[in-house]
Amino acid sequence: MNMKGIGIGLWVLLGLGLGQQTTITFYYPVGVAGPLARFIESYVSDFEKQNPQIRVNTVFGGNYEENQAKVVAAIRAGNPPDTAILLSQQLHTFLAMDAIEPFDPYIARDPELKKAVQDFFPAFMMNSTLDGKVWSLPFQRSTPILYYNKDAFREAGLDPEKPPATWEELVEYAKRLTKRDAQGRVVRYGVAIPTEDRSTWLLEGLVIQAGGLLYDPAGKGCKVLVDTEPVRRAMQFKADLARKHGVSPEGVIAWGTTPGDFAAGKVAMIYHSTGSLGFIRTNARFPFGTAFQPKLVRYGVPTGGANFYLFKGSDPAKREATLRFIKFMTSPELQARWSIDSGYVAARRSSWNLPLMRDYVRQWPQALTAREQLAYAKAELPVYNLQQVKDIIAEAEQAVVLGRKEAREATREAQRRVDEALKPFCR
Amino acid sequence: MTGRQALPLARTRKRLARAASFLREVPALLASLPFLLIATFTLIAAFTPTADLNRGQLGTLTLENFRLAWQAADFPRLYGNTMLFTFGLLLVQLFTVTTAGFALAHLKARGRNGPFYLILAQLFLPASALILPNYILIHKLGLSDTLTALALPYVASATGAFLLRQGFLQIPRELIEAAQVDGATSWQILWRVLLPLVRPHLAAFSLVSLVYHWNEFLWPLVVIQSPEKRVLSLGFASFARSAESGMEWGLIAAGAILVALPMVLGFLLFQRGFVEAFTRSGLKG
Amino acid sequence: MRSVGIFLLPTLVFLVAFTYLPFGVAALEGISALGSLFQQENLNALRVTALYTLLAVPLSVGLGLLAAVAVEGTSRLRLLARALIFHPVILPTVAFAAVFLYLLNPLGSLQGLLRWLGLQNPLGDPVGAFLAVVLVGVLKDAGLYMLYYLAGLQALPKEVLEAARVDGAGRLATFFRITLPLLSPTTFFVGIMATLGALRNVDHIFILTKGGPVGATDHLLYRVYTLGFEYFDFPQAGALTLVLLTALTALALLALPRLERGVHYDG
Repeated sequence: MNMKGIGIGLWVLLGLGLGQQTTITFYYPVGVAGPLARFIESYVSDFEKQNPQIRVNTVFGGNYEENQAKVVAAIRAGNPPDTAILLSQQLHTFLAMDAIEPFDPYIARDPELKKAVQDFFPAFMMNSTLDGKVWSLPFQRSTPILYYNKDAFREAGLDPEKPPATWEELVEYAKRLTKRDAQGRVVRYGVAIPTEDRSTWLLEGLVIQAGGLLYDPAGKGCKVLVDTEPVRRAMQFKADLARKHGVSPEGVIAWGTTPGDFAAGKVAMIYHSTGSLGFIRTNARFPFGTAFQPKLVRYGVPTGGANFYLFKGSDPAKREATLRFIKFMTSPELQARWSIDSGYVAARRSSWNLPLMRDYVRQWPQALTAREQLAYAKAELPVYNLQQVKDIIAEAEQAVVLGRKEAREATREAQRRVDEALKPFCR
Repeated sequence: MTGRQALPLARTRKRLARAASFLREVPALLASLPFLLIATFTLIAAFTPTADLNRGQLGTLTLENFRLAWQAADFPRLYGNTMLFTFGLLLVQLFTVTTAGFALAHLKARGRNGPFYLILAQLFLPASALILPNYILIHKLGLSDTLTALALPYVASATGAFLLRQGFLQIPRELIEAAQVDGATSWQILWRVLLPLVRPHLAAFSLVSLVYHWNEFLWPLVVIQSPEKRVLSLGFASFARSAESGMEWGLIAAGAILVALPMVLGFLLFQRGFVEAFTRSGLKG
Repeated sequence: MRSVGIFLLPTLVFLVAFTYLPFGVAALEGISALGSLFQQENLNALRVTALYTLLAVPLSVGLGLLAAVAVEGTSRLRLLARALIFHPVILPTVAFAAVFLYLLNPLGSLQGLLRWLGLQNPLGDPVGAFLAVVLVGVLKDAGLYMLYYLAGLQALPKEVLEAARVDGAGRLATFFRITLPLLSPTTFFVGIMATLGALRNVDHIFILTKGGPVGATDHLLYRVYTLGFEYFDFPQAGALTLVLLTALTALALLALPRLERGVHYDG
């Protein structure tokens, strides 16, 4: 009887041991159009089905900026997540907080991870590596591209297979695409380049196209170049679209609603993340094309989007579970699925050879644009105190777009403020 | 009464009177029109497919938005947390405002002025203006990311204390004196004799407190990080953001309705109570 | 009664801990950064807050008064109108504001109406965004002020109004010469409430404009949040908190003597 009792006790203990769950916390943002949160949740539940001993506590943190603030707040409260998807350019922020760990020890001992690192597009690893260490792994990666409405092109007598290739052509096309009603009111704008609330991403693209770069790559996160001719030209170009050429809505164009406006046929060309492809695909009721963003002196865009980071303070069991989760989310299969669902660029080169992906690209060749554009991509602004720096530059850009300030004055002032904001981090 | 036989003159007069009485209602109609439009729009949007809304097309009705909204945020948990926070806080507040109101009503003039002003001045130092220092305090207490921390700044309520003080002052002194003659302690007097008499004031305060904290946003935004501790307003704001990027207006409207539903239902059921509660808590002379 | 003082204890303890102690904490945190108050962004926040208050207070109080006069009475329609005007008060501000995201979307269904009003892209323009924030704030609160005015109207001495009517004064004249002056205690009180509201309610800014564009809606309290909880610059956020607290204290000093009279003698 006693033996039996002990036996049962052992079984119970063993059962508990086997069934013991590891719970990991995972923060993620949604930065582009569409029901992306729903996709992420469904991947997580697939992961949990395959790994019943792991529970993933997902936190939708809002857009990139809000999610960032939440994660930082959680770290400061001594309660860091196990992993989070955060802008790849936030590396310096977390280094300054001493909150993250490099992947290198795990890459060294895990062949699967090693293979993954070699398989990511090099352009997507540019923001991840610093001083020879890998600090984050790509998940939702993108570049901004040009979307255009082929029906509108035809209607305006333009060749729908020949999108604009230069800034000059863009303006010219936009003029022809802008449609007015009998009272002279615009019913369709030629082009919309959003002025993002708190981000410099699209501006960075224009700056690269004008031959510049918003930062000094050798500046170790401390040198931002705002007061330069390419930045002024980029800001002025945006301002002129509405104020001089009348081909773009006046005022600051919201990032969030631009894909919807495009899908509704209210604007013929937009600059937006390739991540919005999924939304546009399901919502546009007209054939549309995607293209490289036109150049001034060269093609070029910043890479964008967000990566997985590893946070300090996780115990070994959680770390193991976290790595398994990250490997799942960055696997070629899941990257292909994610790319098809959202429009983000599948970050693994091998994803593109999967039958699933091949079928998709055959049906939607628009998805290839972003991948090809990677050849011209540069790392996006990596800098300390990122959010404040971006806010300052975005505000200067808004002031120029709204005609409140001359580009020269705005960039000079922004440069001074940015330098001021970097001071505590850079001596 | 006035049937077919009524005189034509009387009938005309009656019609005129009716027209005049309708004309008198016009200002009320005009004043409420913008509010009617907003409410109607929200309702229509919530029941219209998002794709139709974006094309400005109405007519099709659907429950899809509510289904999606319900999936997009963990509503059962959000409701649960919000109820835990609002009702838990209310329970504590009922104690603090009753005791404080009682004391303010019956303190001798000499000892009264200090606390009196200290409490009154709180009306002008709302918790939302104190998010930064209160966050620092909560953090030092090791309470960040807890529902308890949400409640702490509201445990002492000047509005409630003065509302209850009014209630206590309306009670005839003889009642208290009689109880004192019977040898009752202050606590017994408050608990047995007075409390039943200030029930309307407690009810009014409860309504206002519930509505106010149900809708609270800024302080929870600062305090709460974990999703499993979020309250409705936070859950809604983050979900509205993700829906906005997809221009899912119907979803936003449905979510807004889900968030506000308990309060709206309460309002529809106890309209007079709400109006009275909010009027009273105004605390004016 | 003796020993009543002990009943104050729970309230006083929490009052000191979470209202007065924070005052000190803010001072301690912010004192080193007081110089930063003169930075352009902070001056801008001050200006925005002042403008917002100057615009939102008279508008919401005025709308509350108008609404009260319009819906006073007991006809079914007036009761319905009253409920409609009041209902935003019980809605979460974030939910109420979210509806306006659609209504004010430049290329949305109300495009025609917005253009007719000369507002093509209200949230993308500094003036438009500011007005949108004021509009939402006013519509949200006007219903509450209407209630106070309704109570005020009910308390008016009927004889005086009757007398005026007998004297043959017109409706408008009666309103401006008699009703309004008699309502002045209510107006004072509602004005104070509205000012307080304008200084502390910023939820709708989070949903509608996030302080932009070019800082046009960067309310002091919103900026405290940005500085404190996004840039984690506690000293500067503390300094701005002190400014906000100073404004609130000034308001209290203005209002307390009259409020106190009300509290003391009402009953």
